[in-house]
Amino acid sequence: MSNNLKKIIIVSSVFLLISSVLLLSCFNRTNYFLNKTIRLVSLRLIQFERLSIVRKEDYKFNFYEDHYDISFFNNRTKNWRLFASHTYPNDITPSIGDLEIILKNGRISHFEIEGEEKKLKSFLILNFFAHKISSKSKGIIFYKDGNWRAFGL
Amino acid sequence: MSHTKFIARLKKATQLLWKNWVIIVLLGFSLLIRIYIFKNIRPGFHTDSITYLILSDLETVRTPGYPLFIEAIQFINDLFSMTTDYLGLIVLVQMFLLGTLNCFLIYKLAKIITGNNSFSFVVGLLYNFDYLVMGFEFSILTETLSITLILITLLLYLEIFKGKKYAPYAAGLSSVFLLLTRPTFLTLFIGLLLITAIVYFRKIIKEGFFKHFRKAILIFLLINIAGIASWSLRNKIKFDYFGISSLLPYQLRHYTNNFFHKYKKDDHELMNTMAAIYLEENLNAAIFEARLMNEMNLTGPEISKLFLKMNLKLIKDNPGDYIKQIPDAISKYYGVYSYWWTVPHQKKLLNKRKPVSRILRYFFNIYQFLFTNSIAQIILLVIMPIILLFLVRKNKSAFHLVCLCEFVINYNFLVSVLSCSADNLRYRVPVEPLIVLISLPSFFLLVKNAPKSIKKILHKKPL
Repeated sequence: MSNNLKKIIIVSSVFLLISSVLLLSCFNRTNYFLNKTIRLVSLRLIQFERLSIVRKEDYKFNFYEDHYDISFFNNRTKNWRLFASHTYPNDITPSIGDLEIILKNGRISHFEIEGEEKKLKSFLILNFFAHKISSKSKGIIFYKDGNWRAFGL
Repeated sequence: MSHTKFIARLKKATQLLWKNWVIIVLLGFSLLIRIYIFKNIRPGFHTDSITYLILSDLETVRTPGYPLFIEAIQFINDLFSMTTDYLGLIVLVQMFLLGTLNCFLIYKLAKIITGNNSFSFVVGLLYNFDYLVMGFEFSILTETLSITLILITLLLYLEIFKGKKYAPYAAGLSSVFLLLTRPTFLTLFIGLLLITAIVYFRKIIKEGFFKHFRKAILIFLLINIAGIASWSLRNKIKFDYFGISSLLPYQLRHYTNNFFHKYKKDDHELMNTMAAIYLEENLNAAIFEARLMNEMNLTGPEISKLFLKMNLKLIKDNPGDYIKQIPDAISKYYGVYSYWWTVPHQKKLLNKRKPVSRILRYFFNIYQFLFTNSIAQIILLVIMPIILLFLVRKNKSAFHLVCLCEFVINYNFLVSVLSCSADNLRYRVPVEPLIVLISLPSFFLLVKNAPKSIKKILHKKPL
């Protein structure tokens, strides 16, 4: 096989691979964003679980319809301060309109739904859905013991 | 396709496989051992790990190389809905893709040095038994990716001087990705060029060596500068911090914590207050940083910038306190071989009951001996490299590679030891395969050349 032919084959296969991934991401857009949302929420939960141990601070996640806020508890002023705010991409929304979760010492210690404190009997599911494919349920399951995991891919 | 054509192609494919049997066996073995390890572990997750997870959340402390690698894996995962075990997936790719690739690259480098297929196979095989290196393959940390990038950079850099047209671009990109993965390698590309200048000094003066490679070297240099400048500019625009990383003060504090009480106040009010808070918080950087963010509304990059000034001022005012800690930092870098970073996995992976674990334990003990026994260390780190340099002196390509490897090993040692005095064992990991790569061929070449040398001595005519 000549060197030129080899080069053509390599370049075209790389081009094909990249374009097929891009095409797939266009067709599978909603599903992709749904997965990405759950992944980012999960990874941020992992981050702040660890930070709550290392920095000895409490962190709070507030999930609203179009965004979620992360706050920390200021031990000196004794109030919550906003740390970061993230929006959901596309038309993705959570199933619960107003959910509050508090992370303390690397564990989820507190749940509040629409301003009302909840004690979990077994588990709580925070589903995310896109209006285009509302039949698919993907989200995060929070257990009574303070553990949680993402599910539904 | 006609029958004869098919047979001919099959024959060609079989020949190709037979020709590369060493590589196939090597890769097969490294995959098998990783399957065994992967089945017995959970992803190693440290406090540093959380800072790499989300590319879009990066501040100035971390560089984008490793987060970009993670993002690429997660992009594919999001696209194909593969798993919700995000950390497990990163480790899987790290072990099976990077780990196996590293094994192959070590084999390739060993072949350049010794020219022997079987011996290179052994060196590649031994890479899989270095538990310290392996332990970082299942940790969400930058070490494994750094090893891959160091080895690729070295291989591609050598290709530049073989006249390959793609090499300066590929080597430059790989070097940029390396320094954006591990900012300690920021000036490595300059060092590589200097070493080349020394190795080919005669050719440069007599034969215009650099004239011949002028364009390639310029491309390599420019790509590196562009890579550094682009990330520094991003930091400047986004965080008002010019530089690729603001990690240095958090490294230096391991030195300065021991004499921080000697901090002298000056005109800088903010720095004085910060120093007081740092002492108040018992020199805990995480709590100190959180408090400054909460109480003084300072951003991460602002804190890093001032914290660096405080550390440098302390070292400048008390150089003796800094210097006297360096021997301890060296012994933490070279004098330790431990499973500390992989706790509690050593219970499963290094136990005496399972055969594979027993082999891993056996090699763990050998490596531990080599890195904790002073005589073995001198042989490993000083004598063997010198012998190797002497033995390969006539093979320019091998000599060049050995010099480059030695430079990378010592560069990493110097930067790590001078900037940090704690957990230095971890900083050795990216160059540990190179240390082994340099010392093993000396044994091999010594044994291989021994009969020849003896013959020569015996047949030498007396004066």
